[in-house]
Amino acid sequence: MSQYGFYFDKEKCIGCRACEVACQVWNNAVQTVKWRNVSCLTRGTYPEVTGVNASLACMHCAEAPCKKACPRQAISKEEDSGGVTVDQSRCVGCMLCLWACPFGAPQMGVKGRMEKCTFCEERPVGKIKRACEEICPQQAIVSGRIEDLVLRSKQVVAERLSYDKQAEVILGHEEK
Amino acid sequence: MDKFTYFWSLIIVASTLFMIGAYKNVFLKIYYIVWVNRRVQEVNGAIDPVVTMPEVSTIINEAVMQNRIKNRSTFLWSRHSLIFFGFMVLFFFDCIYTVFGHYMHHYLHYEYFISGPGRAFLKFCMELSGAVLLLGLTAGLIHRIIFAKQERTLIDIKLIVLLWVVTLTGFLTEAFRLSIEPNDPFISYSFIGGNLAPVLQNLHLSGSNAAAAVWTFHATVTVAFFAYIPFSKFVHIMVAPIGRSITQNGNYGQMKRERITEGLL
Repeated sequence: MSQYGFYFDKEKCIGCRACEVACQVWNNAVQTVKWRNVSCLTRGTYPEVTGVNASLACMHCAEAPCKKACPRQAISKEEDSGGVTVDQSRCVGCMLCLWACPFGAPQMGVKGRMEKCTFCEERPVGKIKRACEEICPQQAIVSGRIEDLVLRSKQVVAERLSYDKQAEVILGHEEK
Repeated sequence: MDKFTYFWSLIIVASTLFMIGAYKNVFLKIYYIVWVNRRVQEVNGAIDPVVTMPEVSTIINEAVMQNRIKNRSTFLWSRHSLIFFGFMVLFFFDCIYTVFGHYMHHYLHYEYFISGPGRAFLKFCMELSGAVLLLGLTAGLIHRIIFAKQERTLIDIKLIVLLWVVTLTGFLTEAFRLSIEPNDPFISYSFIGGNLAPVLQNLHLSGSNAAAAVWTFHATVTVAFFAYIPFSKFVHIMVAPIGRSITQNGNYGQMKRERITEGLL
């Protein structure tokens, strides 16, 4: 089973929330709450102001804590992409998956069942970009095989270190 | 075999299965979640797991008032409330009747809940809560089978049918008992069973053998239902109040995402 995931570059994100909108538009038929959330935080006072934007959704962890935490075994991993999905017919809306998730990704839908990013399951993995990835004007979100994303993050970190820039990424997967 | 020996034998088996299910699907899950949250804190010290204590208002809104369902649909809220309050009240008074009635009568010769006014009170409350439960379950079955095609799943229907059978056979058991004990001084408090008893007599269905058979069937399906709770969707009775309270009705996710974002500053 190939493990796909998201790479997010906070240095590129401008907090435009286009990814949120694209996610909602693409998954309109099944989505009742926001699956992707952009948090925009600023700290300090002028002239020493720092800010960061983080676009967070389900990271489709290789060892998904939400899957292990579900008392109804309603959460499973897709064979082809490793995407983590919720079986709505089995979910009881207990929110234990939200408690377990390090990213706070699963959300309670209006139908009383948990919803989360499906990794755009209608889009063939490796052929078409995910909706959030496709819309991002800064290419701050990239999806792909986790090995490729780890390599990409290393390259980005190396490039930025050479320019003495702070380089941090969110991967959601531990490098083995 | 004496029918109470049969019943308590079933209870022991069912309790064992219940405990196994509760350990596997509730205790181990919560233990894992606590462990994984601590692990996140150890791996990345900048991102503290959000530790929150359940707020009383959240528990009242979610578990008692069930406002989330009310916001979705008044009909669904009415249906679920009938089932919830009917089941909880019936279970509570059943426990009272077992402990303060049967056990205290047996060991301490305490008669208040066996032959005193307490029995009348318990009978009335149990009949009323049973009727409320049966009404909610019947509405749920009709809604799922006929109206809500998107909710018509075998998982949901078989559970509701099981609890419906448990409740219905409870009334039938009481009716059969009263049909062979028509001079029960508290018959008027069993307002459903008491009215069904003459019907059973007119249909020539009453008799000690029939009463024993219905009682045995009721006891078996009740115990089976009890054992099935942690393995079925009814596990939400145990985990939903915990999960929804700890996650502050979903605000926990937002707090976690903000902590992660703060860690990137």
